[in-house]
Amino acid sequence: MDSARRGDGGWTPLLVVLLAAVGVVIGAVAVTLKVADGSHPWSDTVLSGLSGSLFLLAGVVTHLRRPGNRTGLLMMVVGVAFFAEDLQLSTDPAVFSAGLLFVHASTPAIVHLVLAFPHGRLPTTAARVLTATTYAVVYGYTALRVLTYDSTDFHRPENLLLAADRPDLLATATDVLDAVGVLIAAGVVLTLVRRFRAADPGLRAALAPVLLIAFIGGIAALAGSAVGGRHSLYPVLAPVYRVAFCAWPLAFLAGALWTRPRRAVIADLLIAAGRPDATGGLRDTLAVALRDPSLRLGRWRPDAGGFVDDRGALVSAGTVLRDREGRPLGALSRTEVPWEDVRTAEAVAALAALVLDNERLAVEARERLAEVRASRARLVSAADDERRRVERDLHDGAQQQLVVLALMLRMARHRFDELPERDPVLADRLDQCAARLDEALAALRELAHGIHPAVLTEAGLVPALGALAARSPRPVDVEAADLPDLPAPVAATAYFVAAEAVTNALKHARAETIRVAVRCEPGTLHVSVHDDGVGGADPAGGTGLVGLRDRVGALDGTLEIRGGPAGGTVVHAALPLEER
Amino acid sequence: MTKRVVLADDMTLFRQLLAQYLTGAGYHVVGQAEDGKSLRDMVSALHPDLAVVDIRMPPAGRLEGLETAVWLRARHPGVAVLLLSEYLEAAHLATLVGGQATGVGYLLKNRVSDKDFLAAVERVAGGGCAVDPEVVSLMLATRRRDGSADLTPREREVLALMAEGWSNQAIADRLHLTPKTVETHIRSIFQSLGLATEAEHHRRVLAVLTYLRST
Repeated sequence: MDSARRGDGGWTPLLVVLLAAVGVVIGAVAVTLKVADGSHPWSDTVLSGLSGSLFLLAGVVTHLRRPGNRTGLLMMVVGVAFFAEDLQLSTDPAVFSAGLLFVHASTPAIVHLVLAFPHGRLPTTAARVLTATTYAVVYGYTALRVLTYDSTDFHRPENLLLAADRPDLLATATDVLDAVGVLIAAGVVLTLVRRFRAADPGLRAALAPVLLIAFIGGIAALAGSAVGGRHSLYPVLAPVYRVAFCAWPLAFLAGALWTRPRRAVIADLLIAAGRPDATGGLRDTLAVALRDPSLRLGRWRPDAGGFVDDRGALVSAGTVLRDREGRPLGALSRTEVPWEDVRTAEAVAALAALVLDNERLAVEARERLAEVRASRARLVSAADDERRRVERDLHDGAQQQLVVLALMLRMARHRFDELPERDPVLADRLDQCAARLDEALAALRELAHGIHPAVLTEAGLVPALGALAARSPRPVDVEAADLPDLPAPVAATAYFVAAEAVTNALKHARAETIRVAVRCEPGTLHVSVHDDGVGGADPAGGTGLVGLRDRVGALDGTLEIRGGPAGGTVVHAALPLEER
Repeated sequence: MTKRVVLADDMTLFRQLLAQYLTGAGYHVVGQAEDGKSLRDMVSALHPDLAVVDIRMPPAGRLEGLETAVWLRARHPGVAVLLLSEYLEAAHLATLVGGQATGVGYLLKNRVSDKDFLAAVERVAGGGCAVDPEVVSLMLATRRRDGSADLTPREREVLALMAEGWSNQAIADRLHLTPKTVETHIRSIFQSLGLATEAEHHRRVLAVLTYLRST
């Protein structure tokens, strides 16, 4: 997967480190100040320190598990802001003055986090407006306060940023802030409730812990405010709120990291990917496994220069799937920023890449196999053509010359016989010449026949087998039912299978009788040769059989050599008749 | 009377020499054709006594000669046909002869230089027949399964010579038998093949064909 595409950019890791460092430093300062201040109960100090730390820590973990999701960063911002609020406890005027800028810093950060949870970005305009308003109101109020707050009136260090001491203005602003704060709180609650109701079960599972803790904390806080600090219930309600707040980052963490168990997702995917139609339905498989109907899968198409889905539409390269050599195979594109466990997403992507790679390899293998088959068939066909050509050349050339020569010799002999005085030695020579010529002609015919029998070309397979039988010194029984017109390569292959098997039966197996059977099933021609010889034919051995196997294979047929049921050998070839 | 002959073969050298040979043997070679179509035209125009035809001719170099020969025998029954071929095929013989075993011959091409070739030509031209002895052995070799109409080895020998067109006397000479014994064999063959009632001159070749067809 492309890590660059997963994050917001190259600077994200730096930001995380920076936030963590700032958080740790400010946290340490804040806790130190709180302890030095002395006015806070130790439980308050511990819990607030813990809360800030937990936000930071949970943020880091969330970010590491979901680098593409800003939830982790927002959680860290909340932690930092939370600590920053306590800088105003400093007795140093500079630190105190700076702290005044952050007195309410955690509020907008929390609103932002809650509204962006769990996808890490604000999903609606309402949420964006609400968040922006919160930031504006809080920091507007803070700025006004910094400029008008004379801290020395409250026995605090000097406000270095003080412009004018205007408690009246500040009081008005505080009233406004309270009112707006209520509206914002109502807006946030309303948004969250609506979102929870509209959410699918997966999202609800993520939102539930966050909302539950917020609900408990909110009730406790409201109740605490309602009863007032002096009420007997207050000491009970205040810790509930604090503990709830402390547990909140953990709820965010749980919600952000919640996902279906990785194994279940992967198991679903593996099962689905193993189905025969897996490649066609890979997108659906992934969408179901990840419970993300928006998921799109594109296959790499070099001609289109991009990733194309099943409907032929371009798919943006969200997560690029690559093979082991790094070549692109496809891309997963999702409208929602994925918020599953990053390891799950990686496993899913790896599995998708495997399926696509497998699919690509299968296509390549099929194409190459088809090429090899075609090329083998062409080779056999070319060899047959060549054999036919050589036979024809022999027939038209040397054979004709020898027949002509024999005829001339016969004419010479006739002429000689008519002579009044005949030389017996010459007569003998002429007869010898004629006999030798006949032998030469017979040898040449045999040669031509062996190369490619004319009877095969001219009359077809069955006559050629008959001729084969007639030439055999031992009985060869040819059994051939009505055969359709056979393609030339099939007829030639069937003939050569029979010829080779008959030759082997006679030569090696010392067979007494041989039966050649040819029959046609729809789509297949079967040629079998049975003999009653000693058997022991080695299918692997002998160039003749290997050559036959290649020949038969070139037509996509099968050649089988086995012992017969009653001894002897059976050679059987099945030759497809139809184009594949 | 001099027999008029046409020759058909695309092997020019051979055809011309054969013409010379037959002319020397007293035939009148009235025409030479290179392919089936010109042979048909030639026979239709010249009405020769005999056509000597090579089975392998242009354009495809397959069975044009056979097809033309069959056409000739159907269209011009008075023209004897001698088919020459590099190889022999029983089915071709049956196709060529059809139901009329007169004035027909089927020989291997290299028989032309045999001393018996002119005798075979003469038989065919005279309305007899000449079948290459190899045809019989070819069929005998491939005929194994059907037990009916089986002949003894001696009867097969006699049948083969009959197929070639030899007379009883010639068969007797060749097999060193008495003519009476040959006649006995031939009667037995006719009996086996159910040809007892046919006219003698037909019977001899029909015997061969019947035997071949029974395979």
